[in-house]
Amino acid sequence: MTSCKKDIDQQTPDDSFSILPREEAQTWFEKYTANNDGASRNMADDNLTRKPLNIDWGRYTSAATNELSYGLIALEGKLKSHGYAIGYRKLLITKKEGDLHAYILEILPDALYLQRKGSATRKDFYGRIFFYDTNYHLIKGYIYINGQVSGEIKPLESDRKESKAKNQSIGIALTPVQEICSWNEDNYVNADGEVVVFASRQCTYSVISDGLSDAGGPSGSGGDYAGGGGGSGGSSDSAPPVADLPGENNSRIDPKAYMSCFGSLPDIGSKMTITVYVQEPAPGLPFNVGTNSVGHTAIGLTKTYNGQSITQVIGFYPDATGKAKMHAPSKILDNSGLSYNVSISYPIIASEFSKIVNFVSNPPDTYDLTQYNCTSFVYNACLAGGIKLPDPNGNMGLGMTGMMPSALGNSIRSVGNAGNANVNGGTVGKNHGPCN
Amino acid sequence: MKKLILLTAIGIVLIANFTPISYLLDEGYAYTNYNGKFKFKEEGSGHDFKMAKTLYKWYLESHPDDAKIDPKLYRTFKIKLWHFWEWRAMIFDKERYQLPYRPPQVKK
Repeated sequence: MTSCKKDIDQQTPDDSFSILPREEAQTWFEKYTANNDGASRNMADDNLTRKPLNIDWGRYTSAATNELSYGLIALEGKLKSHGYAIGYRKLLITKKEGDLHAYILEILPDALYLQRKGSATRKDFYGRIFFYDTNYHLIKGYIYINGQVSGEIKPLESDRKESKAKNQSIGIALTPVQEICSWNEDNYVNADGEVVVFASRQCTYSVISDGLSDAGGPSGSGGDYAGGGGGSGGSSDSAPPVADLPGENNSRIDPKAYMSCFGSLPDIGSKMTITVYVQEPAPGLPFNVGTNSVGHTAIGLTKTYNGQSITQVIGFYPDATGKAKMHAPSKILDNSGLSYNVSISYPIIASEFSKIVNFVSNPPDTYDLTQYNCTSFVYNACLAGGIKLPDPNGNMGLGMTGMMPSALGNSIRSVGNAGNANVNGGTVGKNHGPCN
Repeated sequence: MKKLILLTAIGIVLIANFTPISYLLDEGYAYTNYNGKFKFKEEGSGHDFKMAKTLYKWYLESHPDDAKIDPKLYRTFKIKLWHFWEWRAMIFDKERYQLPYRPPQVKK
């Protein structure tokens, strides 16, 4: 309780919008639910008996944006996405121009974001927030990337008609600036245990001002409805601990999820670069084995638009251990933090960039140490985009020749500092990571 | 005869350590932090101990509480001295072997 009180004090804005007091919100909500209880229990299309919301008003926190004031209360219930309980929910009560409305927010942080951060915060939130009315009809939602709205969510058409009236009653106008968007179907299990199928539209640079999605503004600090709330230690104030995330014990990545991030930046006006990183087995020497084992070749794709940049550096590996690595099914790994000795970069146009993105998204199924290894993959990916790398072929021993990191590294060294080559080495930075 | 056996043994050790055979024989080195929240398994080909150190450095930067409690990186693999194909790594890349040991967590 003490921490809740502290939060309320901290979130009190100093602009024209005052906070929504708990007493006012509670009185209104109790009256509202009493009036609407019959309606909520007699939904013609809903045979479910819903559990009443167990609201602990002691956990109430309030804040304000430039356009409205609102209160939040953490609710019990966990959300599941792809079989993993990583989401949580809150009751949102808004007040705008004297009108109060109530929504249930279901907050579904991105699993990897949650795993890395440990808890969700509004400032850098990655994930989805769903807006339900109190009858648990999905009204809308937002997709967040790094605390910014990057897309929107809507019910599928069959549900849309029902929620149309409610949609209008919210008084929120979506004002997308960019129209470079795509709709995708997805689903998750909400706190009532129902599978919610929805359509999400991923857009970048969509400026949507509804008073709730605004991350900035003078009262932005109060808009932490994705984050920790009152901090009273309850189970639903913040995201539950993540125990079993997909891929936790398996470092392989979904290349499509990595490559799809580039779709969030428009092609027109973007600058695109391909960088090939080589970790030589024995740096500067032509040996096939050295301090860096057999070495490695990775490919980095970068797309920059208007100061925002997305970089993904990935590598091609055998999905096997021991001697089975000679010839095995392939997998793609995130190569963030790769220590490399030489690299070479190529500026590239959008159409060629998309060919490389497509190649990387659909890598060959099989890895072969001598016939199709990490270097072959990168070489062919570049070739798909019209880039011919310096000669990667060398002597593999036992009379065999083939593509390998040592030979490619040597060829890049011979290019020298001309042609965007870097022979001083370095470490690959953090990747952007996957996008849904 | 003894000389031949000795030379053959030395030859096998050298081949196992200085050719791609060592890459094919390694069982995969894995690492963790004190509470198991950070995990990394070497996959070879750049996905190696250097990468593990870099990623762990980033992890500690983003998890200052963990860094305060115990910033050490632990190995979860046991040192097997009879793995003669690892002798080169044990001598020249010994840092990973010098990490404190922590048994891998098994999920029930």
